Amino acid sequence: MSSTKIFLKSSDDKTFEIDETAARASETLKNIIDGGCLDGVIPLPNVSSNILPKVIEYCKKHGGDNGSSKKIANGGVDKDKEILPDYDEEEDKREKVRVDELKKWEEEYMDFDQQVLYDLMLAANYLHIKGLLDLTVEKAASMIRGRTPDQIRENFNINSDFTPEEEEEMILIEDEWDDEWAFD
Amino acid sequence: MSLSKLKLDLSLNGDIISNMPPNIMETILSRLPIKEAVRTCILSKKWRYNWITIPELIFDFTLRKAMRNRNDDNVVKFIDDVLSLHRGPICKFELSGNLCIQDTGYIDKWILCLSRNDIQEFILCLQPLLRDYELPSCFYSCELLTHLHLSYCTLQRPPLFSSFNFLKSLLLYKVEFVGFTYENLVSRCPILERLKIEGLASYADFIIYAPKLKSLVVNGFFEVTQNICLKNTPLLECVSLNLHCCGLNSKRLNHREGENSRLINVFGCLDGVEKLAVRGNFLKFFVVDFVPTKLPNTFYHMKSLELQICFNDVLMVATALCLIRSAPNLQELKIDAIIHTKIQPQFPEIGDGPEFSLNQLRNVKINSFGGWRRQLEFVEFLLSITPVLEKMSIYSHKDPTIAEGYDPMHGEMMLEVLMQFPRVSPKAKIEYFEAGRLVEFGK
Repeated sequence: MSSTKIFLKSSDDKTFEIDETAARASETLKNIIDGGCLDGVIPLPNVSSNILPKVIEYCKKHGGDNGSSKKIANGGVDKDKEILPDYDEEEDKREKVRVDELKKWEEEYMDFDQQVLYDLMLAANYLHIKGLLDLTVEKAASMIRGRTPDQIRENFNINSDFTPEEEEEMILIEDEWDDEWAFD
Repeated sequence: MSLSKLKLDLSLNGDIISNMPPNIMETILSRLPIKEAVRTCILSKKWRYNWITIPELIFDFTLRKAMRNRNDDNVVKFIDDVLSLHRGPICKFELSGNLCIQDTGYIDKWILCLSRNDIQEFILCLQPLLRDYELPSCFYSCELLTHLHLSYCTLQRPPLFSSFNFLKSLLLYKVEFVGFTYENLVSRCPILERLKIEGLASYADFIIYAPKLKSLVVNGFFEVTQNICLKNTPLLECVSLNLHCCGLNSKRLNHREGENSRLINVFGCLDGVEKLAVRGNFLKFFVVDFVPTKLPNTFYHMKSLELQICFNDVLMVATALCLIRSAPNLQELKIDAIIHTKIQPQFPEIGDGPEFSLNQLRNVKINSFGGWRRQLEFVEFLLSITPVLEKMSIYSHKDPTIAEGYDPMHGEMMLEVLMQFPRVSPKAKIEYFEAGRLVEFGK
């Protein structure tokens, strides 16, 4: 079990420590480590000290278990099970407990304000942490799904900058979507 | 949970999401049902064309539901408009939901569009009515495909040099072939790893030559006079053949000198296989041929084996035993032990003594058990060759059409008979179920 420490420097020059195994949850960090360009501290000019600890918390939870987090991303369906039923019920039960535990952790982890959501999304994108990007993007998508345009604008503080005439026109188009599908 | 919290600081932060990098925006929109993703165009000017670059376009059964006017023509028009406005690569395209598409010219046009936009994952599930619909030749220009799933359509002969060099996963459901065969198609997919064929109705030889194939599932019908052959498949790990042989009564084939036995044609190259399932009456396919005691090759890696055996057929049992004997490291065995009639032919010697045993077998499950003598012999035989067996679960199945005039043993009596069989494994536990319920003494 390797427990080499890696040091990350945030955009505002604060240094944070992370285990190498955890850091490998990030493709970007993984490439830096494997590339042998590790020169003491890795500077992360796009991630601030407000958000970096949150990112590290995620990596700690998910570092070194890329295989199992993939399972969750697939909706818990192991592709091979489509082919032959698995005999090992015990293994299935253990897996279920693990997935449930992880879901609960994710729920608690994701309890933050909207600014953190954006920062985390950007950090996950920059550091290529697929699981974290999925999680944050899904949260944003859930704020759009099944909502009216006004609700969406309210959720994200989007100002409709269409002129009243344009807006009228857009609404007309929306109405037509289900009839003739007149796009412009 | 935190939606209210998320809204709290709106006034402080303003509209940040609209300025997210395009790839994040696309990922967010890709997670929405296509209709909702397109609808974000009315949020603001910035959002107007956000959706047109989303890399995944999924038109499934939820789409029709999302339309106020649930008319299939409108859905078709919607898909057509989305594709004509879309810009940039389309990594994934799915068309399913049992849509009634009157004018298949639309599908031709969509496939042409996909073939020009780097399609990688293509799922086309048409209505059964469109089974004769022939995919246009531009389909073969989708050279970047990694995943292909087709349902109810017809494939015509591909152009001479076209191939799917990146295709890893291929699923064909009731797909017809005109002028070529599965063998031709698969040979054009050099790195294919997963192949699933549902609704095979083949009256031609079925030959699979796939050096990278890891999993193979074939369900359907097969003419017994035809040949099945798995060649050069060293990486196959999972194989499931659920095939019903046709034409068993009309012709009786004899093994010809100098030809490989059918068992060897199908199983002779499966050295790496870990899971094997042979269902339907497919074991019959081998019965018309010479059945060896054991295959020349050994399934050293096989952990799980599932077989459907008809216990009326001596040779089918012999074929099953041949497969079992060739898998010395088997850990799990599942048998569907069918009996069709009361007539039970004389079995050959089932056991081959103490020189053969399954030293890794831990779990055995037997379905369709009716307490027939042949089935009991088989159970007794398995208990005598499995030194580390932990559990044998037997599920009884009483078929009223067979049981006429026969008074089968059941309940505790049956359990008693099963318990009396000598077991070479000290740990072996026998569980006997009737109508799904565990039978126990004194209960």
